Amino acid sequence: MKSILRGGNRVLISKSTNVYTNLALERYLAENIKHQPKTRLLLLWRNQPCVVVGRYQNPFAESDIKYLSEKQIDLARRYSGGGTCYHDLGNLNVTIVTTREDYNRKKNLHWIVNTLNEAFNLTLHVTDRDDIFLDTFKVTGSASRLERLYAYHHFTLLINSYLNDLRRSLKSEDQMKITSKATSSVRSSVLNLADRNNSITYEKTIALLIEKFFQWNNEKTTTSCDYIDPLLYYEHIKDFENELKSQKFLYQVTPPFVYTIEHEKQPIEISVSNGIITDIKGNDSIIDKKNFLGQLFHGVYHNIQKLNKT
Amino acid sequence: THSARTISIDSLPGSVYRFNRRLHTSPVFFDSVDVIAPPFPESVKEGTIRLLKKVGDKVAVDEAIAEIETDKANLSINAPAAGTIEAYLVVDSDNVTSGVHVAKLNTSIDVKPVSESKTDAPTGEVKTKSGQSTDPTASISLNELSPPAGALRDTSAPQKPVAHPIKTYATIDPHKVTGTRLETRVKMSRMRLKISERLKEAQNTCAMLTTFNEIDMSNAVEFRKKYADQFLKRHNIKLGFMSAFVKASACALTDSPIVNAVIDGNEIVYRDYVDISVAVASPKGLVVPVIRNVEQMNYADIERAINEYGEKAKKGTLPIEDMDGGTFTISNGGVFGSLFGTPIINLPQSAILGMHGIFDRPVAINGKMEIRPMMYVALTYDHRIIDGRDAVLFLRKIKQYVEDSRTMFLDI
Repeated sequence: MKSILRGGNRVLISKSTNVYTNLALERYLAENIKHQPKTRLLLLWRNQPCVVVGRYQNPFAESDIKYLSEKQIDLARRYSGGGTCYHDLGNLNVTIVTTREDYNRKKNLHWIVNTLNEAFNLTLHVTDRDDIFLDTFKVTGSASRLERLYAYHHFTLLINSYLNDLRRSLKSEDQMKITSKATSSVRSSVLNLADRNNSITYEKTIALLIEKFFQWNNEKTTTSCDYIDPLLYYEHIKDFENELKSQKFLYQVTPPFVYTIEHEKQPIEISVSNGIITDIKGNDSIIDKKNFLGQLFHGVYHNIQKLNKT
Repeated sequence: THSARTISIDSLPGSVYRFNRRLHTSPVFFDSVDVIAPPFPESVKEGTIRLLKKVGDKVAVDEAIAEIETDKANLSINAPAAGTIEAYLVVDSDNVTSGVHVAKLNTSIDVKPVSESKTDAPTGEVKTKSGQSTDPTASISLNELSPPAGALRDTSAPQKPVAHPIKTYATIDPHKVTGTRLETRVKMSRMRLKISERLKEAQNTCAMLTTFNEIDMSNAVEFRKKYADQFLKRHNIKLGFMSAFVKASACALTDSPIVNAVIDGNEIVYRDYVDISVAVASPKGLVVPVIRNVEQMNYADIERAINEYGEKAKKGTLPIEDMDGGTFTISNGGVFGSLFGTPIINLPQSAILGMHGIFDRPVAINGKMEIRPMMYVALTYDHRIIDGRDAVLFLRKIKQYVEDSRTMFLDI
């Protein structure tokens, strides 16, 4: 078996369904593989139920944090920007890694659309926001990261996800309460591919993508396709994985925001920066500032909710 | 203007020099580098800038200092050189266009002037340059910097201590023992730190023990002598003993898959391929590249692979992925004349074969004493997954395959 970090046109399928492991693996491969010009790496992965927010988003504005912890749905922040998405085993993650010069998101999306339309008799199209829609429903969301020497474009593909769980997880009561310059998601109605053609399964889709990927890159054989067990590379990816799991990265890299609640018709504005409450404006008699100033916002979130009474 | 330096010579033995440096301005020494955002991909015009560092932070070359988020693509802005962030010319979360001037980077080696530059701020000059001494003796690190007389000392910026103990300048050669009863402290290199870390890790993880055996090299020596020229003529490389041992190990590993396996958590991972790590000398020290799929190679393939790695190692062009992985390691102490010894396991593997020197020894063959070229071999193995019996039988298989290479064809 050749080295895992060699370049060339390759397909790797992750054996892990842990979102933190997979995100760490994605970054490790993108940063360390010797990318050759005019070649692509296709990484295929899926996760146990989780919500993934973009690098500069506010998790409280994008999802129902309380519901996530109740249902033990993981919350993760990825390194690339963009909006929030819900993953479960019915949602395929695809990452295409290339050299910086070869980065071309439209080409990737058009390849996917053509491949799926032809094989499954669908009518997918690419929008100008670089989403893939089936009629008026969104089936794919994209995000990219460009570094000096390499770039990656990753996107999700709703095959047969639990859409009710998706909607419930991404519903945020706090959206209205938060003012900030964080990236906000653009919401759309979603649809599973399997809802339109019930012969589509996860297994069929990845088999199709692997075969067509090598054709697309003018490779004669499909031998450069491997399953990768991220645990075997634990030493290499553990720093990324620990960062992704850390409270600091999940909550404290959120761009500064102001969280406004109402207590008996009086507004209270809580300013949060780097995850820490830096200022509270409001009637001093209602809120005991000592208990909140300097605290981590996500740590005292429940107490803040209790104050929010009209 | 010139930099003012005060040289005071101590009467301590060893003649220690202490430098006092003053700040000066001079247009010749310009260490400020502009960091500009690259063009945005996909002809996007605007983006949001996110600052990842603060003014005064020290950054390494290529470290990310900011990111620009365009519609779903994140563009990393990296430091073009190592230095300190002098100023950001944009505000966090601002909208920016491509080609925007993001920051100013101070790339001078001396960190202190950044804080001292703040004392110049009242004069209205944003750009300050630090003095670069052209005196060759200034290559000795500064013991202590004192700010210009009368200037305010800015203690707000955190600084790394520059002080070195005076002992460092005592002139003794760490490699010589001259009896002057002095010590020299030399910081461990990164490579040495990494090596010591990995060695301890292996010791702390595996239940390591070693089993020994000896190999009668007469047949191998004769075989090599007989076919050396023909081999060299056809393959243009020398036929050594490593190929015999590498191939013998591969056959033995195919026969005993547990030695080729490794523990991961609470599972044993069996591999259906044999990748053998072979130690090769390089100018930087010993490196261990991996020969992949040895089970499919013959002696010529193996010698060629070792030769290629040797060349690359000499040139220093051995890529890091060639040293990654491996299911088994062979270490050859024999080149230095070692008789006997216990190698240490190369994680994450489960066993390592140590070859030693070939020395003529009297041995008993069929009741008679004969002088044979003998080599002691050692197998250090992880007892967590390899039992004593397996280890001993495995080593005996290697012995068999080296003593009589024809047995590899018999699959016995």
